[in-house]
Amino acid sequence: MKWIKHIKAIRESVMGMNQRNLELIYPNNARSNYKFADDKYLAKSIMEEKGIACPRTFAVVGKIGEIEAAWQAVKEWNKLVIKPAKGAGGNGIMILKKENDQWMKGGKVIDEFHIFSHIANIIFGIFSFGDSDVTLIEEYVQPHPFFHEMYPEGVPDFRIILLKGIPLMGMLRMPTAKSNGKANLHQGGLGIGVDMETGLLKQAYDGKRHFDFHPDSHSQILNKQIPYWEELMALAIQTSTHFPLDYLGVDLVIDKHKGPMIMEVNVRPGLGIQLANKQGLKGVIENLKLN
Amino acid sequence: MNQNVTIRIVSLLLIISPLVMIGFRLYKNEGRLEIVPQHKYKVNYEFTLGAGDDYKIRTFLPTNSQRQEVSFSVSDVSSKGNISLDGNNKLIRWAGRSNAKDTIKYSFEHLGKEIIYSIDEGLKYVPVFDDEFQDYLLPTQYIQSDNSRIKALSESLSVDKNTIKSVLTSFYEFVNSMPSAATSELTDAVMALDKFEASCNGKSRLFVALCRSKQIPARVTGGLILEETRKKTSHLWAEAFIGNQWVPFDALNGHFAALPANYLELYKGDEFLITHNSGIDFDYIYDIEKQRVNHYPFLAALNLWEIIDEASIPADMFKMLLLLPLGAFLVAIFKNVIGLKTYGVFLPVLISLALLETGLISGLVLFSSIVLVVALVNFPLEKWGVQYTSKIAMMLIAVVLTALFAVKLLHETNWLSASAPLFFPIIILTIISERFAKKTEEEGVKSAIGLYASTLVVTLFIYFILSSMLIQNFVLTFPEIILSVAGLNLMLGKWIGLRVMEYHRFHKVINA
Repeated sequence: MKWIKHIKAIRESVMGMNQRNLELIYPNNARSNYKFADDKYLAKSIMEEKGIACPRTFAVVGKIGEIEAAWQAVKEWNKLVIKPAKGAGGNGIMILKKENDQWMKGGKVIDEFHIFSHIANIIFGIFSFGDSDVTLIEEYVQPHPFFHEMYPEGVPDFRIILLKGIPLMGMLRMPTAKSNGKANLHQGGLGIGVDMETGLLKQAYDGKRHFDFHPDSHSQILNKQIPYWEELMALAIQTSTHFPLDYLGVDLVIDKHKGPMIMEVNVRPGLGIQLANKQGLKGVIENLKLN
Repeated sequence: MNQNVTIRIVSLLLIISPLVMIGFRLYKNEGRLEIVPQHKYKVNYEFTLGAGDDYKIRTFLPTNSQRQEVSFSVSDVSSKGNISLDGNNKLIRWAGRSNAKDTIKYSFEHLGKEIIYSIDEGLKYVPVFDDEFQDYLLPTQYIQSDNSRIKALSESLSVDKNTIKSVLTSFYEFVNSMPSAATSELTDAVMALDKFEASCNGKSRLFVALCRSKQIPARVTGGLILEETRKKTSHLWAEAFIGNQWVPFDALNGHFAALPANYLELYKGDEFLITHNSGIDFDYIYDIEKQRVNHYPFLAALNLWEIIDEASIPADMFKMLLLLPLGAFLVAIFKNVIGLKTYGVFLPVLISLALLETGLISGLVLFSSIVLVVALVNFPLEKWGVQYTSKIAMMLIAVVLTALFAVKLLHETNWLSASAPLFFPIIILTIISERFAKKTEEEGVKSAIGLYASTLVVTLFIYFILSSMLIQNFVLTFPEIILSVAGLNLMLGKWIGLRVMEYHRFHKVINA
């Protein structure tokens, strides 16, 4: 029976939520250390301290009264990213670009009042489940032309999952017309599998189907060589050694000028990466144990 | 020891030990093995006599039958009496002289079983002329089956009827449809028909007379309807001989070929329950106490029924407490084995418990209208960028208003009983509406509604499980079972298998 075989194959190679929690997250990550990943401010402090390449932080705003002063310090830059330290899933991230001395958000003019109230909302905890939060104001990463050849919008990033410093699986996340500039799989972004040996892109997955090309731009994806692949892997491994988390997802970007950088780390990397790679995490870990 | 082995041992111990306990308790239990609460009744005859009377009293004692078990508690007997058998009946007689105002007490316990007969539809009506049944076929002083009007009635009721069931149904329906009279006076068959109104004794005699006039063996049977009370009223019903057995009919209380468990049968035939010599100052009362049978008291460290009965703490409170962990376990199964997400772990359980109080339909109407209103209110507030806490506070107002209007509407349509306790359900609904609002905020209306739908599926499933009387009574009788649930939870919490929905989610990982 074909479907019984199929179910068996899924059971043998796919990592499910239960097994991930019990065998990867709980034994490898102490709950008291989650904060080093969940709080982007803390994570960046570690990365900056250890000299790991990451986007520059222009300002950290923890109190409403500090907004005005922080703004004065950063407003000379032409591009800014404002994000909550404890946000999840890309919520609360505001990207600002200056055009003709006016701040633009997503192609529309935005005045300082609305920027300030966004920062205030972050501090009030709107994007962090009601906990009070701090706002990070960061350098805007200019995606490497490699990405814009495939799709010209948004900031694609790599997710590499590591176990005790060993990279298990990787994925390139790329925005689509549906995903509004966001690259998360569950927000309509595209997950593209990565051959960990060679750094060649595999097929893409949009949550429903697999493609060999970008569904919007139709440009080829399969078998494209990722630039800086060796550096990306090295950076991910370096990062994992500096965090007290033995199972983690590292998110990386490639800046046009500065090359690979770490965006953030994640204690509970999603399992959708298996769909992008058409490969089960359970099988990968078992192969590792054998070798 | 390996940690996993320890966990396995602990969970197995947790699962098995309550089961062993329950096994013992069932084994040592003296009553019938039934989980639905059962009652037995202690019946006390209390006869008082005037001072100086020379008395002679005769009454009946119950006997065991297919549907009743009787046990006599000798310790409660103040006067032994003289017991004798008379045909089907067991008689007891007392005689003597009362010194002061003497009381004769006699008591016994009755454990009854509801009985429902099915009468073969194909069984033909055949008049019986067997000598053996003479007593049940001939007219008597009060059962005038030879009376011309009764004969005419029985003929007209049975015309064109050729099965015994259709004839008896026709008689039963006629007598059953007669208005009931609240008299304790003796009413014979003809009087009942004349007045076209009767109490139990008139109706039973008329039914028996109709049967006898068509040569169906029938008799009246007397006893008491047992309930927690002190009363004087006794009861009379009828029996007809069908096939090869006596089948009961109570045309007053609407039992066709059936009797409830709380009918105590004391005698067969048209007798007086108590007779005494004339000229004495005699009074009587039946003092009846209702007692729960299936406590399973052996080894019961926590006998909740006893607490419920003795301290009159409402069973509902214990029920809710015990159902909560059971419901949470079901949520855990839905989450970790099936893969359905819900708003929180306790919320689906709390909603199901709320539904137990409001009733399914009215609860769901209330529940869904509140969620809908929250979704609608959220929309402009989100657009205007209102602060989170203020927004939640405004939603609470919307929830309260919706609940009030829904309750008004539900009362007007009589969907909700006026006494339905709504405080707890409304609190629960307010909590879920907050979660719903938060989810709407974080992930949009669509995914909030998706989560609402799967919460509803889980909630309904839990509701149907928890609304089972059998399960409710089981947890109240054997509360130790929640330790088994704890053990199952421990096992489930260490289970690493794929969730059912993950097979679907990840089916494209493998090329089919």
